[in-house]
Amino acid sequence: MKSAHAVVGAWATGNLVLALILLFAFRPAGFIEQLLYIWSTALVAGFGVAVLLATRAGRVGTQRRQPRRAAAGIFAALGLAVGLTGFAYGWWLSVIAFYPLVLAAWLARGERLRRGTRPWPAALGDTEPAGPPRFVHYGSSLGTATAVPAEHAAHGPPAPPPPRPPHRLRKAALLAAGARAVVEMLRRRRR
Amino acid sequence: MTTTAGRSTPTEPRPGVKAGSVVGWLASTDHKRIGLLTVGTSLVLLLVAGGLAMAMRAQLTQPQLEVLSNDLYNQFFTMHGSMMIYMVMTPFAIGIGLYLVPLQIGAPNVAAPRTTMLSYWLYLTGAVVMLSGFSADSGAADHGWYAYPPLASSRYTPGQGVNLWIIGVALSSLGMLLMAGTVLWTVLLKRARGMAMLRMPVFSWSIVATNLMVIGAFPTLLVAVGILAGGRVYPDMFTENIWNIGYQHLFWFFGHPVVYVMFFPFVGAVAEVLATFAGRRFFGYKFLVLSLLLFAALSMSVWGHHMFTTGQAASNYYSLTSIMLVIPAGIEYFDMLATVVGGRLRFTTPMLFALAFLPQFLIGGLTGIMVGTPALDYQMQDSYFLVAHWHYTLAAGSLFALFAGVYFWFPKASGRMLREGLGKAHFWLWVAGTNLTFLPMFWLGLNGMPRRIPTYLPRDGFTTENLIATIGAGLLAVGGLVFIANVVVALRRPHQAPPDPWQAHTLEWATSSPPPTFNFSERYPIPPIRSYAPLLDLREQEQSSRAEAG
Amino acid sequence: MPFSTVFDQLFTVWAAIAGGVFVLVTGIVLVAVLINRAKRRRKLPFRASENKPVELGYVVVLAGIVAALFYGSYQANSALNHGKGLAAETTTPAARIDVTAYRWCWDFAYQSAPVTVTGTCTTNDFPTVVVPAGQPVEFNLTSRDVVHAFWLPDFAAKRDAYPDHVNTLRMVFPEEGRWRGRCSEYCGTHHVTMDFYVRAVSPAEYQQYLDSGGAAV
Repeated sequence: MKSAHAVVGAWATGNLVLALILLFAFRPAGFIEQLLYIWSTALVAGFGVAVLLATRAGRVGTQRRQPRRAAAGIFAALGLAVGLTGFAYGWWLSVIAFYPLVLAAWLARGERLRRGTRPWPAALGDTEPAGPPRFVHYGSSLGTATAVPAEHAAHGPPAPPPPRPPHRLRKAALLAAGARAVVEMLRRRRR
Repeated sequence: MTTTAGRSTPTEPRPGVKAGSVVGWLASTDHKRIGLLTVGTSLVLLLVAGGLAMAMRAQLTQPQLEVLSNDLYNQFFTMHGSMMIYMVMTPFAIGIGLYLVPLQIGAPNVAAPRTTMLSYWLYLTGAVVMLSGFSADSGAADHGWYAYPPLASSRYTPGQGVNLWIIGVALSSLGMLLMAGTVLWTVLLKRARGMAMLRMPVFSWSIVATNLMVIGAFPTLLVAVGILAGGRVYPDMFTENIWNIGYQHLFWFFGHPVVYVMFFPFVGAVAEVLATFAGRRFFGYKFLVLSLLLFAALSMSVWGHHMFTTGQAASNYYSLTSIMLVIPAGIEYFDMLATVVGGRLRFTTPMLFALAFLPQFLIGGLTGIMVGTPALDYQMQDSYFLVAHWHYTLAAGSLFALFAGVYFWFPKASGRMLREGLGKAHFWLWVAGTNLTFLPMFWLGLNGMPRRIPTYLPRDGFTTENLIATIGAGLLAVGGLVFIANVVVALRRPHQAPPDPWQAHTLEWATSSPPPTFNFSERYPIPPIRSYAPLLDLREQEQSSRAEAG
Repeated sequence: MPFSTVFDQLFTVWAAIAGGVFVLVTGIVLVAVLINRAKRRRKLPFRASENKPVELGYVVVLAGIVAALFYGSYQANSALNHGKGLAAETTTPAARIDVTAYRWCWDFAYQSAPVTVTGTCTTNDFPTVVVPAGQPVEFNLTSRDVVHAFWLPDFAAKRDAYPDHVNTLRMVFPEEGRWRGRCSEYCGTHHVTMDFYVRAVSPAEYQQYLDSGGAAV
């Protein structure tokens, strides 16, 4: 991630230099301009730090876990939109916005598969999953590496268990469970 | 809910709903679908904004026409500007990045696809809310696209239109901020093996620069419209100068980077198109990457050049930073020209649009130096000269590059080829229309026509230029209809597109058209990546081995 | 130097540079389009995908151009006294006029005499501000409501008028005459008709105008 560091670093340094030029060579009347420089550089640098932390945590390379659906996003957006429209038509609208937002929060949990769910949920299309992540920082500091433990993500996904033949009974049971979940949900909503 | 998950198999991940259905599109977690939704929505809104512009041109054809009343005209130019900037060019720029970048860097999907879908919905609802202002009693917002207070406060512009405008801008900018964040995260962390940062295509780099600017600048817009919202409730705060000038600083701090957000991805697209149809590697890759980043970083320090006439900004400083933009812009032009000079050119429709972009955007850029010079800006600011400059960068520049990109990637996204004949008709209509519309405006501005006036008098001497401009706008409208016809024909009577119809260079052309769910598959694997043009590498390898054998 | 002279000189230079660059770039594109057609060429004119010395040299040239352009910009702006007006700030202007913009017309008040000029900015009722020709004039611009801009297109002079803030614009009207001024910052429904006139008269006539309490001269 060296180039990413360079990008953010150069960005921050460059803007700092410009801010200093503004401050000392051109003497602006107000302070707003300096504040804006600091604020935006902090935003970009903050993003850079987040990337750095994610790199350190080894969350680099092809992402295999994928969500199945984005309904929560729709409800969250609708909730936000209705809530903000309250600014024009009265804040009681934000009470209505509460419901889609709650629904979104409730849906969000189920949309992402739990870690370790089998079979490996996000084999990419009809391909074999790509190999282990390209770069993993694993060790106490840069340069001192330690052996990667057996279950670490760097080894790639665990081999999927042999596929079980689809079983009608299992299907029926799942269907029943699904139906019950829906009924449960409706009952709860009515309360 | 989780029960369905258990049924998915490694060979075919089962989405929760049928993939082809409406819900399958609207709740999709596929970056290609979200990208196409964003880009498609913005193109539909382009029609709306273009229609508003046509009405304005009709009103200005001759002096003292009464096609639109003053107030309606004011609503139209406000909504035209606001739609084009917040709802068309910016979302298209970020959306086409969302569609292409994961393909170009060999990633199966965007990072955090649900957040990305949330951002599309924020954008869509924002656009609907803003447009719904037309149904309000007092009409849509009519304070101009930058909504200066105190004019935009509830004291001078009462009515719901402005409130809805504020809400719409807040929603869609929040959406764009989130979308840019997820795409940038993908670029920085989710690349395929072998795809080092300096092997990313030029287009992906342009998206990196774009999204960095979005992250640095868009939060400031949210603060600015927050201030505006405060002024809707407490209009008295805008009797104090600090809030008025402060708003302008905040707004332009967003407002200038956003101009480059509406420009960079299109430069990236032009660079890809030029390299592809010149049949050669893009010239000066590393310098271009550096110049894009320099451009983006500098874009954060030029905002004051919108405020030379305020008497409350350090004009010389902003003139310096603005003129410094000549360096990155000069590098970009040098590299693009060198690619054209050193190539074997094939004149397809995307190539024509890309070639026309070069001189046309240049007019916008060179006049940009003029308006970046305070002594000249005191005359040009808020006149039609500025309108002409601005439309040469955005319409003659970015919009041409946008269509270069649309003609280039349409086969990839849809699996169908657009017709070359219709495409070329569209191109020539637009070249004529764009220059007829916007070139006369330079003279109008120098002769003293202020922007945002709904009519003028015969003795003002603006008549001829305005008539020419309206004729040009008519050609633009016809060209737009030709494009729509082209899309309809391509979808109704498909000519199937092969994976790589153009002999292009980057990874998205290695997969099928349209690409499979997770972009690459066993049949269309990611080829080895050794440079920023992996497909060109493969072809050259093939050629040299054939030469050795023969 | 008046605004318009500075503008004309600088604009000529800038337009010449811009024209040169435009002709150069467009020429290169057109020549390439003519001689590099795939039909005419069997192989690439040159294969190199980068040339660092040339590009670095080019960057140095660009930096030089930037320096030259900024020098011109800075000089011109200084000639306008850092954007604050024309005459050196030490010289006392011959006329100081308080300009108040409001929706949708202008008030002009002379500081040295109890003379005010105003109008309604409807058909044929536009305010005309009388100034002495050939002498420095200072306009103190402010606004009663929203942001307006005081623009004299014939003199390439413009400055915004803010509420709760005074902007000063100093300039010289070199000869006698009458010119139209406009509001150029969009301010609402009747922005389009928010015009005024400036009439420059000889200093003697100007004094007579003030003495007579604003009677027509």
